[in-house]
Amino acid sequence: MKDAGPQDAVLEVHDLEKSFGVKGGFLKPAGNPVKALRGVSFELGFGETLGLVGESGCGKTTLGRCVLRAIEPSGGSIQFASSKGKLDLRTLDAKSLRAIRPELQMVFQDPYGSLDPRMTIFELVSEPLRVAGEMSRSQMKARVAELMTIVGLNTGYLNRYPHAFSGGQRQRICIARALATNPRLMVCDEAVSALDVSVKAQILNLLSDLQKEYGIAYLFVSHDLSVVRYISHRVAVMYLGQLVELGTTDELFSAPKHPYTEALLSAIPNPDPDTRSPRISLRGDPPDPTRTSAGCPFADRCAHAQDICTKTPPQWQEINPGHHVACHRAQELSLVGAVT
Amino acid sequence: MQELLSIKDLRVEFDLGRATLNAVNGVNLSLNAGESFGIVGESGSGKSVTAQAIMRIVPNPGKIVNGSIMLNAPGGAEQGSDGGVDLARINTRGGLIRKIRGGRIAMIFQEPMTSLSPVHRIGDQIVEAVMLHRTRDKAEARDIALHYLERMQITNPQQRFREYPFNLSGGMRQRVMIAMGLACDPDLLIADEPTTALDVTVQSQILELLEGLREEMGMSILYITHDLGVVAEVTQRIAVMYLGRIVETGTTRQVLKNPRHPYTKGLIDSFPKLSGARQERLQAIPGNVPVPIGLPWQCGFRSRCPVAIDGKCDTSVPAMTPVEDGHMVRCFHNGDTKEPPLPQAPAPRARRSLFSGGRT
Amino acid sequence: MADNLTLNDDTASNDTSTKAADDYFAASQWSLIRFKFKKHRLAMAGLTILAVLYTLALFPGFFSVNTHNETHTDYILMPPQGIHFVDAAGNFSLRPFVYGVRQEIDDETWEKTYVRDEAVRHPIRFFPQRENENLWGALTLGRHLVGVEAPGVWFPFGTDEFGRCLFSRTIAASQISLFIGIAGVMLSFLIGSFMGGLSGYFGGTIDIAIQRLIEFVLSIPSIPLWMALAAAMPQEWSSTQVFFGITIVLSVVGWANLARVVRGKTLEIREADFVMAARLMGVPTMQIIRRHILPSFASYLIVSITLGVPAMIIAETALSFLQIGIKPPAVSWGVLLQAAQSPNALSQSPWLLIPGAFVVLTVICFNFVGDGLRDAVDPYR
Repeated sequence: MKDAGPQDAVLEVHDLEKSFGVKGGFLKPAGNPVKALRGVSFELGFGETLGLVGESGCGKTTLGRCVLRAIEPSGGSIQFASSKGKLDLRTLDAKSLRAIRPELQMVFQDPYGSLDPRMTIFELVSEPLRVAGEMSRSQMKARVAELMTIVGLNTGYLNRYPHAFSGGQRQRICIARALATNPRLMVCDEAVSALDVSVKAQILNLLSDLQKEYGIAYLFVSHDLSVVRYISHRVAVMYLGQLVELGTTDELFSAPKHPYTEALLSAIPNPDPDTRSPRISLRGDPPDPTRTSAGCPFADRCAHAQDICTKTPPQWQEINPGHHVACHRAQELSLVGAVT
Repeated sequence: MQELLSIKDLRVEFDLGRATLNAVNGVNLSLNAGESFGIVGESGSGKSVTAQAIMRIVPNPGKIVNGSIMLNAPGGAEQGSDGGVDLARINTRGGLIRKIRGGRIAMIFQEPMTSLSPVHRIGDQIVEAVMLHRTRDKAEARDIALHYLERMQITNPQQRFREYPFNLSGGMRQRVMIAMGLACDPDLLIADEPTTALDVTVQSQILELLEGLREEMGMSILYITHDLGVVAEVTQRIAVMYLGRIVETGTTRQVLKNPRHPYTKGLIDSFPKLSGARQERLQAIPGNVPVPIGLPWQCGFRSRCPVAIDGKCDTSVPAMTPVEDGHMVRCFHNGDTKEPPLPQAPAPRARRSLFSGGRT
Repeated sequence: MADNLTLNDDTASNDTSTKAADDYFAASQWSLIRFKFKKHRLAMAGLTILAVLYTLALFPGFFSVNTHNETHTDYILMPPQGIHFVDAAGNFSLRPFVYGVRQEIDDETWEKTYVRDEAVRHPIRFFPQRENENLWGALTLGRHLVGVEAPGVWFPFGTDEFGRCLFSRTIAASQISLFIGIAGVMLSFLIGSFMGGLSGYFGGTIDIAIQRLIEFVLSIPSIPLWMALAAAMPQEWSSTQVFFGITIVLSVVGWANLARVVRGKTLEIREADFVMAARLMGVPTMQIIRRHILPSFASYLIVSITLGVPAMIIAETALSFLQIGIKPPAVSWGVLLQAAQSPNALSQSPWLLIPGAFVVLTVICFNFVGDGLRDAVDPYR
């Protein structure tokens, strides 16, 4: 195996691409397509968490959704080790895709928008079971009650509607629903970002307990690096639709190899006044995803950029076992991590 | 140190028909001139309502039912005999509050689009604000506006001046809104979750700019946030709020390095650490923030507190007790003083009425 | 399975729940809407009045006091007759009565005037002995609810130029006027939700085509279009056929607005996270539409429908008033108002406008109900 990633991958993504056409219409010229994903490759092991970080507009949410075919990727492959063997999700027809949907789940950011307000908690949590169609109603009742216990909710609430619950409780309901069909892969799209600090920790603990118990692999999309550090085994950093760095959490946080990672880490607000690292300010705003550049996409904001950076795109190289980075100067720069 | 703002026993209630939501439950706060102060709390803690009360923009049906909010004159007694004005008492439709809003106190919000008009050019909006409060001369107002846009590190301010808010990215809009707030040279800037909607990289830029401007202009900034990281970066003193009361206050270092209230401790522990080895498990605070309707007269944190004392925490409310110089905490583990009960203790009301309430 | 997981939540916020809270938390969307709607006083008043009007319209023969097509040649253009409890001598009678009427002709101007004949009293009774009709499948009861015994007459709203009882005619006319509104909206709704749903769910070329069609329909001035369509209806059609014809004419224009509402809502809900969640669970498309999308905007549709009815009623009234809609002998409020077309008739017999008051009342009530529903349908805000 060429990298020291997971030995046994539940998900292998190769060269995934997605462009959103800015469609022309009557009397309206077509605009430049937005290249949200520009060839992303990574692997995710069974029971592993891969954190996916980056600024808004970097394509991390699109990546999470493309992996589940919630939106259609434009190119690449998505190998998923389902219970029925290895499948390429990208080319799967609608019927076979529906058949393995139970093994792929998603938890959304907004616990208010992702629960149909017109359904009771029982209807919501049992919907994936109903769709799978393998259970009788009484079996479903027992399973839903079990799920409620697993996520720490009172089973007496089953006939209530979502409006009766706080944000944290709703997120537990979403997790119960995602858990219903024993998924192998769960994409958590900013799953704790909308929650209060004290509730956030509860949900993070719940997610990590569930992973230990059921061996679910998480693709954990978040902009919050301290949360990602807690939950992830490995972390991937995205910039302008590409991965710029991927490594184990400890290595990436303590010894980043990409200047963008370094800048991100230094920007994390740290509540501990004693362990503050010097701030590296990035110039400008997150870039425009319609833009194409000849060289490194980060060159115009990078403090270490040289001539080569604006001319040649950097290679995705393995700098240490399991630690990949796309930077011309990765070998020579010595960058500062967040953890001292 | 000169005191700029002094809040005494502030209470704000929302009358929801069959029940009363006690959003702010007796807040005492003192803010010095030129100081950077943070109010930290979760949703439902009353931190935003406190800020809205200072600006007198508490949304209906909220009402200030008790307390005073004294805004002292900047350079002494030039504005009146006592030199100050009680914001809790003044007419919300009068000319005085309009002068104070924007002129002496400016406020910026989480979502800048709510305070920028989408149909007017950015420059015109700032100029309008400056002309309301600082100068009547249009050319001068324009110079001031440009100066602050530049000061907020907005690239190419001459051109941005003529653009509309929707042309800008989230970070740029937030800078424009701050520039607009600062252009009138306020004594106090209230920043209500100013960076929550922004990326960390942009957040750190904006916080840095704000702090630089605060020192340069000698104004005070009151940060309202749920993010301990943000207050740790920028504030000198903080107050932690829970269920409408301040439970702990002191210098930022005192509170964050030596928290004395179980809630503050819980908040800090539940925050995933950036230093040291990765944690196996986060120390979460159990339970959820209760809805502040018809709550019994007891310590607000009792229902989630790991160290609650039976017969004490459930029957009385602890008073703020000093534990070190400037560090006060509201917990019976740090002293026995009780809060005197309210003249008429609020009768427990039916929970039913929280239907129309809802969280903010 | 997972008993070893100890997860601690869910203690503080909901442990104080009472029976009432429990009812509320387990309340469905519709019960929340009802809860809020009931608090809207104007809407409740409007709903009550509409209920009364529709009940009258369902059984016109029963609630009228005369047969609506019967001509009383002795009583042409007679003003409304008042109900009395106390007679000229000051005697009180618990049973209300009307006085008899005599026609007198002015010797010089030849003008007819009706003079109250206080010697004759016709008591108003329940189920009087009186001729009745069977109107349009309404319940055949054979009797009027109230009235006076023949040969006495009672015209609560007066009579028209043929001596027909305006009250009975107004009630008979309400049948067509009130139900054509509903029928028209229902048909518009069927067309509109089909076209709007197609447009919103599939998007693309279908969407563009339907959008242009809607714009085209809405850009045609409606009155001339109706007039053209109504004029195209064969003269020999029966009243029933004309009724359905007019319904279709009204819907041809009415569906466009509803289609827009449906399209907008479909677009909005199609993008909602919970629809995405359902798709990711593998819920088939038709089930997503049926279980998630349709219920989400059912409440909005009901509002649109409620607010669409009065427009239909007004349109029918206008068409019939212009003599191109419902035609006599069938009666609708518009048909009745034809009699009030000349200024002369109006100044001499203003009571001929009473059917117009019914149109106004109905339209206002529908608007109140629609407003109330609109406020109530979003219990989650």
